[in-house]
Amino acid sequence: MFKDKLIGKALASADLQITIDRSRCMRMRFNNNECPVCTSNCHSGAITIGDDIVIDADKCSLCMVCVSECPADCFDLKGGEFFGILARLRKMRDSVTWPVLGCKTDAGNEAHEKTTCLGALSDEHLIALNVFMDRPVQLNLTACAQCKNSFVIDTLKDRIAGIKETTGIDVSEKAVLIENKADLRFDEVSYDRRGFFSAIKNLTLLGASELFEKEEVDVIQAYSQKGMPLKRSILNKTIKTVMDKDVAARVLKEYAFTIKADATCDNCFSCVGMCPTGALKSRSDESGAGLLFNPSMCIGCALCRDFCLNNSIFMMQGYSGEHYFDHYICNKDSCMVDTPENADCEDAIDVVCCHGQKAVL
Amino acid sequence: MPKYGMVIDLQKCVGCGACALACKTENNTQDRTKGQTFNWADFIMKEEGKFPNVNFTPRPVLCNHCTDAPCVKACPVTPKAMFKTLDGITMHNDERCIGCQRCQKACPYSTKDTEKDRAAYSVISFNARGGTTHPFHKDAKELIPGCTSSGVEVSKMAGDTPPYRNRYKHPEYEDVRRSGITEKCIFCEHRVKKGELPYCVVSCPSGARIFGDLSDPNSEPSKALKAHKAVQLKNSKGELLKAGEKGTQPNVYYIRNFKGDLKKMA
Repeated sequence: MFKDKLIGKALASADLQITIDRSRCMRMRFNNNECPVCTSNCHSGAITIGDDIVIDADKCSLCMVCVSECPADCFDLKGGEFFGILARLRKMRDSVTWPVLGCKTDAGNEAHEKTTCLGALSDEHLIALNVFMDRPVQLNLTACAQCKNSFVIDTLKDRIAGIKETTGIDVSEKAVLIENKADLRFDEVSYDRRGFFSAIKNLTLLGASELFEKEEVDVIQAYSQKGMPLKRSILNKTIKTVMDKDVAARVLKEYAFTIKADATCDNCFSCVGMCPTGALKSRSDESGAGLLFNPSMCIGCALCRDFCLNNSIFMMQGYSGEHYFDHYICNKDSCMVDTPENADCEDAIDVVCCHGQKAVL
Repeated sequence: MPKYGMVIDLQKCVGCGACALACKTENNTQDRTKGQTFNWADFIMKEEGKFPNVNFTPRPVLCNHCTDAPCVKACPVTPKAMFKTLDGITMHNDERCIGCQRCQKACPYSTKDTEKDRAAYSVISFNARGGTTHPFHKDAKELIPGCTSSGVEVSKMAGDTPPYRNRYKHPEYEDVRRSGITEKCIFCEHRVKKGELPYCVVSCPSGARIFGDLSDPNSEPSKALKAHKAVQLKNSKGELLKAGEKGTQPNVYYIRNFKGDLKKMA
């Protein structure tokens, strides 16, 4: 008990605090929005949203669930270093047979790399882990039963089951949940001659592991600056670099969104200002005005749809077209694609107009 | 708490444009482009009648700092990027503005495109997304090649962009606004809080602009309003609020219309 308290205190210290970027929050951007994701997922009731987002540091148990659940990337962990950890796990594949990822909560638990709490692993992280790791990673949850964040086991199980149900990807092949100490297979890192050179080779060859490194971006403060959620960038890189086409199609059906504006759109571009990620862009030049949409950047927040005064915008879950990574015109009947190489494309979206079928988040 | 407002004496105004120039230099506003005026202080010029009975009325216009400001109601973000200060100034926060232009749409004195909508002026202007503000002073092209200097050159020699840049620090807005956000007159709050008058008021050579606290019966604008019948603007086309009409409760008043007195003389 005493140890728990001590560690709890250490975790709540200044360098481990969840930072908030309120300019990303859907409720801060649009006062009619009632997104409940962080408040309803927070097990300790530490988050309150009024005129600002506030995390009560005394209540917060650093379970990282808000960080992994927030669709808009409002939360981040200062000093968390989570993505570097996964990259290192990938790189140690020749020196360790059974890599183990653990948490910092229990100082004694066995792991090659430790993060604040495994609740940080979002759907997108788990999918990326599944695609990129060549061997299973054991998620050391043996200390969870005694921890106040014990619900994280169920959270992870739900996420893994959810991914399997919606996309058919069995994440549990690579992300193995270990709840009992007896099941854990842990070897200390051994650097023999061969392992040492392999490690160097891996360092240079495995560009893919950079996937998990956090991109260096300026801290976004202004509401008008656009930013992509990190987990979405991870998913996009996974799709772009390694994922099998059929699997990618299933993933896009679940995690991507399609936006289309109908003839009532008057090119006022209010939605472009409202969009937190830059998925919507405006174009006004000699060829006319148009609303451009990039599915890879859309997080499905539906702020554009709800904000539009003409109710011109329709959103549906899933994207099945050819232009996932392009900005294409989405408010004209025949779709024009904004990249020169795709200029001949007649129908960039092959979805039926989704009038009335508003996706529910 | 004061409630700042302005009274403009039309018999003193000759339409010289000093206020508009003063505003541009004080607040570093950029040139008119693509239907956006960026003139926080502007004019409605009205020519009426047939020679020899002609009438020319310049009406200086600016943000009305309405008590019932629709731009504030329309602003979607939390906390509001467009809001009323305790002094009654309609203030704009550059950091929180997402550039949705909903304020421009809501404001009866603004339009999204003054050229298309044939509006005389627009209180709120929008700095286009992705573009650079002050494009003229970032353009290396000479107006007459080999003869005149380019905008970039002038800025370089002056040591700032724009060359007339007046640097001030304000918690809500930048001295030069960035692209992708709206901007408007803020009654020179950076001056007012130091006890100075808005720069358009100071620069008026005939003293046509009277600025002060409307809630104080002894202030200059209150006295002017007591002495003369005042009218308020209704929209960006130059129509006036009729007697009994409240509109958005604008706090810029016009007194002593010259035309009315001419008729009396005839």
